[in-house]
Amino acid sequence: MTAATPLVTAARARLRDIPAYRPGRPGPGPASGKLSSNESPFGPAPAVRAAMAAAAGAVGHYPDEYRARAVLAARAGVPPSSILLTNGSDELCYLLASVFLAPGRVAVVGDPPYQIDATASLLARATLVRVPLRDGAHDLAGMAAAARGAAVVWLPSPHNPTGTAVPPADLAAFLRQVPADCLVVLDEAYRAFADPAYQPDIAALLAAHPNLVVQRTLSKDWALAGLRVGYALAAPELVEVLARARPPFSVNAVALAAIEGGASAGAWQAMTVARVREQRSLLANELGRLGVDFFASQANFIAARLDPALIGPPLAASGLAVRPGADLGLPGWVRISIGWAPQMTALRAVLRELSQAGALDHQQAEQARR
Amino acid sequence: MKTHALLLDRDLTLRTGPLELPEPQPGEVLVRVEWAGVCGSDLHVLRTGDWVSYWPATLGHEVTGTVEHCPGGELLPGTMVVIDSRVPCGSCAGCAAGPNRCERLAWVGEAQPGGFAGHLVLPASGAVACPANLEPAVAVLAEPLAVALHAIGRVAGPPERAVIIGYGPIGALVHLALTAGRGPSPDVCVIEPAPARSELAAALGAVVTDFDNVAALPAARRPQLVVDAAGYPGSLADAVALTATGGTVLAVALGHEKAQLLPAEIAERELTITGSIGFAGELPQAVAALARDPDRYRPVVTEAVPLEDAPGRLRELLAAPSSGKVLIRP
Repeated sequence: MTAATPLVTAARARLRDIPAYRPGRPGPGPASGKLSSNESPFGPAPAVRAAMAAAAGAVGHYPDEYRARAVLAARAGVPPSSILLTNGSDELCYLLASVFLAPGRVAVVGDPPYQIDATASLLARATLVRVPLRDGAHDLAGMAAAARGAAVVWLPSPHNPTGTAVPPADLAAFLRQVPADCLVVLDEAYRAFADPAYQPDIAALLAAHPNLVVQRTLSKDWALAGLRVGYALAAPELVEVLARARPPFSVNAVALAAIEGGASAGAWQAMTVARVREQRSLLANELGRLGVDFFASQANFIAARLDPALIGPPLAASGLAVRPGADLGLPGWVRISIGWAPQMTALRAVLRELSQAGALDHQQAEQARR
Repeated sequence: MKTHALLLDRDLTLRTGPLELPEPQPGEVLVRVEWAGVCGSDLHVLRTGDWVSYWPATLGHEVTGTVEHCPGGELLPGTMVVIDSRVPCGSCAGCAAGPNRCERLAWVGEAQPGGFAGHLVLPASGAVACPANLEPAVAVLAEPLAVALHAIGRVAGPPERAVIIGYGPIGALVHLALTAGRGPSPDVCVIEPAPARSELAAALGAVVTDFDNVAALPAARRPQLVVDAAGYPGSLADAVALTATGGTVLAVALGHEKAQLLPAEIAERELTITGSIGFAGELPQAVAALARDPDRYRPVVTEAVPLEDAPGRLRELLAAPSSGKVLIRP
């Protein structure tokens, strides 16, 4: 390894608080065994696949967002002028940070946060205030207090990595407490998987709170993680400001065609969500039965207090991989993406076998001792 | 050798327990089962005991697994395979035309121990090797997909408009076989009253409709092909009633009630009624289709059950059918 140049040394010093992003690793077997990145087990809808295939012939032209924005706006019940498309919802994190954060400004996150929220804030040289989660859920009172004088509050709901969701009434109360000059970024990447009682009326909230930006992604229930598409829902004035900072054409033509194809993919997405909820419930029941701590999740994953070193090898032997919690600020835990029924059955079988062998009891005793 | 298996006793009691398997001989293969699919015919056997020639029986003829031992060397240990479910007599006039036309055609599970077990032994020629990238839980659909491909192959040319009556796993796979390479088509409709199954049909791109809607279509919009994948009393007559003049009724369901058909209607409207059973040479073709596009078929599998939970779950399925394919994991 050669010595770092002064240029790289200086850059490293500047980024010393920013951990490198470590993507979820695939399992040793088929792709569906990858339960480490919260991907959809079913892929995109047939109509979306057909639209993407048809669009491949038109990539000689710059993309036109008009129809795609209309599709997403109609789904959300907002005007198209309230939609800003981004290259994955993570681009929106960086965009918001670059526009609203700066050295000396404060950004508030739950702790552990969604990692990209923290990274984007730190890259903007903002001061990061971490409000510890309580039982895996946001401490809204603590965050509201921290929001006084802050520029941005990052609020994923359901939260990643814990999967807990803010009840809509609590969210409405929280938004009333946050000063109007503090931006609230409500990240709804996992909204589709939440029970309807945990899905707030976004159109109403946007109308009442001009300082609210809602973040969505097409990586989860739309199953387009590899295409990189996300979007913001916000007041048109906010969208206009953000659009100035966004690189032009940051969402490609094939992705836009996928969104348009999604207009007729409701049945597929409903199936995907229903199957994820069913498997999530089966896993939660199994974890409860085995006495394993976990957070009640409204997302397409469950964080469970399981030692990655203990469960990693038997899972790998079944072709499965989950995300070590240490990657996400939850050391001693794993985050298990909800996959296809066969994979989840195999995963529950591994947990049962570990339990029958007494390994889970040993782990719990060890954790209690610590 | 002993393996752990699901055992159906002569009094139709279902339990798990040890099963003695013969040592594989040259020309045979020992397969460690990864997944086995539950077929509608398995449920018929569980209900009636029909077709079984040994007791206690271990059903399961939709099987994917890994070769553990192959004394004759036809297959390498570690090879993933799907099994050919057919057990033809090999000596009748039907067999001369093809195994699925055997006059005494039997099936793995009913004639010999099947895949609801940790292992099974079968002729090496009855195991089809899968590409390494095909995941076992998708590969297990090869047998029913071969059935669907064979059925579609029995009809001349892809129809412009088709209706599928019944959206169990075979109906779903016939739909996917019919629309392969076409994407979602508004001209493939499904009649399926069970909500979970009709939701799957809609998710997979079919237009969900009902008998009255199709019957009300003008002659020019009637389906040229109607597939009876339901098998309820009267389903074949319903299929005949809905088919366009000059069209084809494709019977894939194993209905056990006599059908009431009006011969004059069939003659005057020049209808063709085509039956289809099992498959001929389509198993490798099915494996290739699954390997090419596994996501297209993955939603057909709706449930996976450990072998120890299978007796209870299968009893439930007798009362309330699943929305899709149920897999059993030994």
